Amino acid sequence: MSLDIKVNVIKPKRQTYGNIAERFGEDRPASRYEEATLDLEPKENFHYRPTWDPSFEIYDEGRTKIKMEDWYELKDPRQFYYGTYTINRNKMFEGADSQLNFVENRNFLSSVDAESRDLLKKILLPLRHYEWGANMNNMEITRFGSGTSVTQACAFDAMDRLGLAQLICRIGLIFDASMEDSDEDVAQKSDNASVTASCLHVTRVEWVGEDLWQPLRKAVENSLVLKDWFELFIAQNFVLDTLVYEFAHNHFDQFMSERGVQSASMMTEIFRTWFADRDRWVTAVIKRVVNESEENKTLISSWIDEWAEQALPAIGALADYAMPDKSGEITTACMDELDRKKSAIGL
Amino acid sequence: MVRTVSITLLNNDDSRPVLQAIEQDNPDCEIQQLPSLIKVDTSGPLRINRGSVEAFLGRDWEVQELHLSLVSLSGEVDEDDDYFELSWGKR
Repeated sequence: MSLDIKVNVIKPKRQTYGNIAERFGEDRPASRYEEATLDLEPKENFHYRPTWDPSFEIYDEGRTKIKMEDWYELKDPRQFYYGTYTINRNKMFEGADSQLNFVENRNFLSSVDAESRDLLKKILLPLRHYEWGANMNNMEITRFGSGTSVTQACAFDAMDRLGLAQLICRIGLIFDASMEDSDEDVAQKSDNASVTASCLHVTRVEWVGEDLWQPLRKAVENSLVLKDWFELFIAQNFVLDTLVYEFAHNHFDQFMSERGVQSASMMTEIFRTWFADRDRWVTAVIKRVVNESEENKTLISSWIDEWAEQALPAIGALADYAMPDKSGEITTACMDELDRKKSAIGL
Repeated sequence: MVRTVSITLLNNDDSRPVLQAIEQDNPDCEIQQLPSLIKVDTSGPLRINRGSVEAFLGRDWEVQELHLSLVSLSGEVDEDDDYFELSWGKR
């Protein structure tokens, strides 16, 4: 007797949601990213204008001067939706955590000479306030931006920035712990709580009051009050981030390595990997907007120049302080990096 | 006689970008979507390029990752860092 296995295929009535099939022009299977992104924002049948700002509709496309035929074109090349984003970042931050633990447990920082240690604290730690500003800005874009493809990625970016700010705090705490070990008197004189966060308190005072940080703080605070959300995207995610990361996590990091403080690079490695990863997204978004029309192109180009001008004194001040011998050279190198990225986008 | 080469993958989110890459790089292939499987048949060599998969996937991809969603295949395998190719009697 032969046994014949019969296959009975039940064809699904549809491969994906109706709105997505409509967008594709055919009913084909869509990826999770596409299903969790496309057309999520309501577009019509709003009954009331928002009471807090009646001059605009909810999800109004007129909140920026940039014009796009379809805002959902601004896709994230990393295809992050909630699931993939959390898995990816969990991995990334676990790696950073173990590197910090390594530096902390081996007490690497106590062997760093006092001058380098002070310089590292001075330049690195106040950047937590910068990261917090970036968090606020990306949240603002999430709130007023058009199209879930860009707003969800900005929400993820905002959370990243909060995480990075926390990592800088953690580095500050490691500094304090290493001080405690090397200087018993300090620990004995003051109570524990003030000792553990002492260098973060100092950092805040420096960010608010010291001349060194005022140009950058000014740029950050000016960006916080921007109304046009795409200008904010350019100012924060393209201009300021490129310059600050190029300075702090590339040139300054190299400088510290040359002075023999490799533990600094170990603690900040995540900033470089994170930046390289999210930069693919920022570049892809701006590139798509630039390609849309000549008007967008000129607008973005002028925004970049405007914000580069604002950011230049900030980088100059930091370079003067950290690397006085070659500050001019470093500032030019940072601006060149911005120009390089600008021309890569097609501007 | 033309012998077809074929590859069968799990029908899930992981193999979708691979399928898109196959469709793009092997225009003659025939794709059967079954409830849990995707079967691709073609007469010629069937090539999966790492670069194409990465473009659809949006991240780095190693050719070995293919094996996680691979159910079955027929043909002689030529696998390298940058591609995975199935064919009959290439040598």
